[in-house]
Amino acid sequence: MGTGGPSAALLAVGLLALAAVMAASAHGVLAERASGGSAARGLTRPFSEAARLLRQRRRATVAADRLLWRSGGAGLGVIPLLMVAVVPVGGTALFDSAVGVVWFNTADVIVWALVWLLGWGANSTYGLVGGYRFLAGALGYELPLMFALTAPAVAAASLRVSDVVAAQRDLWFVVWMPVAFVVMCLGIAGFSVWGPLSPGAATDLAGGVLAELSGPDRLLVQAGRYLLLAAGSAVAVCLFLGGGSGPLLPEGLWLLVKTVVLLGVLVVLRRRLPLLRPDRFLEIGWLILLPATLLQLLVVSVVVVGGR
Amino acid sequence: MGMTSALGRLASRSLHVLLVETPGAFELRAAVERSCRERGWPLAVSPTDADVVLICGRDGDALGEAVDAVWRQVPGPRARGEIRSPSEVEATLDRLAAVVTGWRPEQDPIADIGAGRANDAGNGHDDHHAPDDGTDDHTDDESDEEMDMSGPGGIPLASGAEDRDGLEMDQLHLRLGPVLPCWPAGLAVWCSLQGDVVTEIEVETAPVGQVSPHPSVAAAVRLDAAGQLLRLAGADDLATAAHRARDVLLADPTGPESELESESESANLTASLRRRVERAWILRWSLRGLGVVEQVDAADHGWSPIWVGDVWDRLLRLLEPMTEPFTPVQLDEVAAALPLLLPGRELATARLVVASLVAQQAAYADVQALGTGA
Amino acid sequence: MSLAYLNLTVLLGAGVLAVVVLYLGHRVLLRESPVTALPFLSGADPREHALSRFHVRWYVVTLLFLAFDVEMLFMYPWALVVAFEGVGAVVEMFFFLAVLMVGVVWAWREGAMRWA
Repeated sequence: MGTGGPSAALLAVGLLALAAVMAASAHGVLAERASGGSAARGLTRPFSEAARLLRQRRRATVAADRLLWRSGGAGLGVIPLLMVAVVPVGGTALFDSAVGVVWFNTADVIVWALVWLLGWGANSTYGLVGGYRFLAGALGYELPLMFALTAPAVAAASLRVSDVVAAQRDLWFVVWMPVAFVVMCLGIAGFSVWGPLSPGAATDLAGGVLAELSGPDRLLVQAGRYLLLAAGSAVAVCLFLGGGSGPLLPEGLWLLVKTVVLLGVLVVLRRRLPLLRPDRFLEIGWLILLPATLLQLLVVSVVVVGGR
Repeated sequence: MGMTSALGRLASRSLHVLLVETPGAFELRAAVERSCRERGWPLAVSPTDADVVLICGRDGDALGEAVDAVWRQVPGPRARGEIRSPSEVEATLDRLAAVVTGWRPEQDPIADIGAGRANDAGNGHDDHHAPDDGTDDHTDDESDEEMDMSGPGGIPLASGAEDRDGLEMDQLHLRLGPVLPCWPAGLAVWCSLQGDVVTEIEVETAPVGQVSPHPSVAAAVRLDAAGQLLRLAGADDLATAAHRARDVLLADPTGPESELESESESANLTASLRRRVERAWILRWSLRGLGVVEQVDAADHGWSPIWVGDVWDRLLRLLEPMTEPFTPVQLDEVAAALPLLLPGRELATARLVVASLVAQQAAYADVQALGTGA
Repeated sequence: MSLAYLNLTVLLGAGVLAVVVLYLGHRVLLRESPVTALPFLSGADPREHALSRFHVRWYVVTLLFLAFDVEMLFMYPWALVVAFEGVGAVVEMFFFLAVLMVGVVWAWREGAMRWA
């Protein structure tokens, strides 16, 4: 099933881009505030950055694996659009798949390949180390994220995202699945190669997977990271924050408002957190996040079975 | 082209500056960093990330070559400049910004090394060893010479070396410095890497004989080092706070009173920064246990006892108020310790360890009270 | 259903179009093809190509991951039926997960999650 048609799909693309730009602007404002600059300059930061990348030369490195390298960048721009396909408005989504949760999960795992290709393709040591560093971090966040995604599905007895939203009519899932929600937020930062989970693109690696990217190639990856952040937030809103439900305003607007608020919270948190270095984060992911998420899932299944 | 110039004007609001600090030019770099921050210009972390390459101080031959090589990697729009005195900062940055804003690709052709390299490869001998040839019994030097110009683009393929378990693994070489943000000025080190782990260190150049800085500058040197360490750890806001406190100290004093004022203001800023750092428990978790120097090791190797502890200890020490005249650990001492401290560490850790060793006070009154990072 | 696939095609097409427009627009703006340069090494020439066999020290974790990933195949269908199957399904699944967690703890004690 699916509704809307091409115009709704294009509207979704536009709104996703809007949310991504808002997140980038918010980040610019906070960064400017930390360095004592003007908020206005921070607000327009995404545009000035885009402008400088648009007029920057493209370049490649010697013997780069160009096809794989550029596919990595282009893929990061496209994957978030496929993620929002399963975000429902008015009871049904553009692509209201019966396995929408799995679809989202698949999309976020494809990011593994794309980021690694970015690092590999450049034929640069920094990129290579950054790509593998991302994979090491991904091993830490991905399993908790997968189990966190199943918690709402268990509660709704459906993998269809619109069913999950409908099951939250009385109570948002975040209220009794806080651990799963937090883990999902961490996962979003992870597959967006962003904030505390961006050691693969860190300063100490001269930008890691970004190290040899210039001009539109870099712009694509940077935009892709914020689009992923926005798409992930939209899905998290549907799985944990009741989707588009809310008083007075139309459903689509509520969805947008909640997504933007969640993005804002993520951006504020990002300024307060240092990098989670992958060699330490692996232990956190496997020995704390994973058992915690499994316990959360146990609680959810017991509640579901008990309330039958 | 209205479109092009409009983009140029918009882009000039956030030019990215790659700073190259020459030994002894600390105050210059700090002045440029301050101006960049006030203009809202981010500091670039790589040549592809840079619009402006700015050399602070007088570059020697070796550094000049490195800067030239990096300059060839800056895609453009680009501008390159040098700063010799703090009074030039604003004018130079304005001038470079104008160059970048008005930049046209046809006026600044960039050397495309692709074609030349490919021809070299054709002339080289093709009978090199493939990297998956498990029985590489050449010494490193031999294979380097033999494999020169042998791979695609005239660059050899990676060759293997034994790892700590005696397995043969491909080895990559990475030079850290001299053109590298958050890295000590003038230091150049070749790292051999297997995966992301440093296996060997070869110090190429390390400047010697730094003079002890003036007391107010000395405090700024320490704050600067703390800021670089925090930046490497990804704590961007804390790093910015450290550098703002540094810049208050370095602010041009117009009279003795204002110097006192700026000192006390900076002391307040530093104290509040130290409290913020102490409260940052995730940062603490990520830096604890890194680069541990035991007291006996320090004594054995003749290292400064101020290094005792881990990266976290050393970070907090950089944020302590100074109690006595500051004699920094010399960079050649740091360089001499690196071959013992870095091998076996992951690259991010190695960078953090280096950042934590510099700008520490050579003589420290109360070494016994430091603890050993337990 | 066909509308759903049309929507997906539109989303995919919009993404691909955006990428193409970005590159074409840039090409028109600069009228240049990409240049080739050496990778950044703080100003040094590379001693070898970076493309090589990377020594992955966390490979044991990838095996653990694989075990759990296969488990996820059971997890999705299980999520749909657990409400109807009742306590039995919960006990069986979490016993299985507990066995896997024992493996995780073992690997952690072996030091598989630390490298360098």
